[in-house]
Amino acid sequence: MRGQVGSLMCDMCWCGLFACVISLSNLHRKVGGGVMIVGANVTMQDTIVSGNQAAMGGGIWVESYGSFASNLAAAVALLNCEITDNRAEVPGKTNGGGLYINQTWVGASEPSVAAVGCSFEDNKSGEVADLAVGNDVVVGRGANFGVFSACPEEQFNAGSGLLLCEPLEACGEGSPANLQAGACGDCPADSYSCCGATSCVAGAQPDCTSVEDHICNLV
Amino acid sequence: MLLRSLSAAVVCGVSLLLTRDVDAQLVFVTDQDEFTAAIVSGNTIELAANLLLKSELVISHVEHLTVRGNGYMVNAQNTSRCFSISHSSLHFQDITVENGLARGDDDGGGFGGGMLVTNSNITISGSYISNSIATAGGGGLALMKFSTANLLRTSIAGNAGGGVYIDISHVNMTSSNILYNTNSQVCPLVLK
Repeated sequence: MRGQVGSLMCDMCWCGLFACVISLSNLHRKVGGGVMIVGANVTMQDTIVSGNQAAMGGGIWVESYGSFASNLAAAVALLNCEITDNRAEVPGKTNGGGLYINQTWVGASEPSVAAVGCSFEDNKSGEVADLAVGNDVVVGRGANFGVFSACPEEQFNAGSGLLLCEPLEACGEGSPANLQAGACGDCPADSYSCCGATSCVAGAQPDCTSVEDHICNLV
Repeated sequence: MLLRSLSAAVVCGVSLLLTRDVDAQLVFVTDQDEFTAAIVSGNTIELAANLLLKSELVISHVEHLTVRGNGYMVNAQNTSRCFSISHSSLHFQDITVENGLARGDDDGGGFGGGMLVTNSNITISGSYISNSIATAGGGGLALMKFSTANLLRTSIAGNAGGGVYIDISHVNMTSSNILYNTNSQVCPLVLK
């Protein structure tokens, strides 16, 4: 355990943040001004991380947890988030004003961050208020970081953290695409979903246009 | 609640369980002693005044407790933690928790100045946890040891020692804010 780090500290936890604001916190001489994630599985959706400050990783710090006893990878999904105006205060270096993904330590799994449809803007590193590489994001040795645009219309992110766009129809009949969870769901009893749907409808299953595609005939 | 307790009693044949839930009631409290006496499984505690604490409120091994703040505050006056919750399930609504203090190190009592939650299932909605201090971490709120928490429309603001510390727990936060927290030992000024 590490005390006094991160305005929000997620240490070996499972954490979901939806439509939240993490802002204006100052973790002087520490890391992860807004959020610190250590060996945790975190999803942040429609969340703003703004105006935070720390020595490194002003907005968000991510690292895996590894020791001889246990090994927990950090897996972070940022969906439609704004990471803006955060600051890493250590001068003269690029220390991840917005996001710092720490290197992979010996014995630890690779930390992974996938940012889907997010904006990283106006984050600063050190005393320099410019936007050189490293001010917004730093990716340490052995760490994984992917920036993706949101999935196109009629597709959804089915990758549980990593962007894997699939057509809505991939979930099939009776299994609607859960856009928030990034997975196919199941309809409760006495309801149904047509192929390509995102929700269940109460009632009996209507006819399908063909056995092959199972698309409901709603006409 | 009554129906559930009757069913549970029939199934389990445990008269104690029946007694506790039948006794569950709505309790209005105006001071710490009344609050402590009202900590019973199934109860709904309604704050009818601000509570100025003399020591931390301990909630342990209690099920289905609801605490409605009605906009009032629980204030530990910077002398102790506000709430210490373990092995319990409860719901806080519309409450302000402030001026808590958790003093100690990583292995001691230094987590969760406003609220320390361990091995528990908690929902906090429409509430503020603010101006509290923890010397180890989680100035406002610490969720630890396989706890489960849902935070809805809740603000964790102006705490020292970090805002929220989550350790080996499962947490969902929706439409909530974590603002103006710091790692100093002095709470930043917060206007709310």
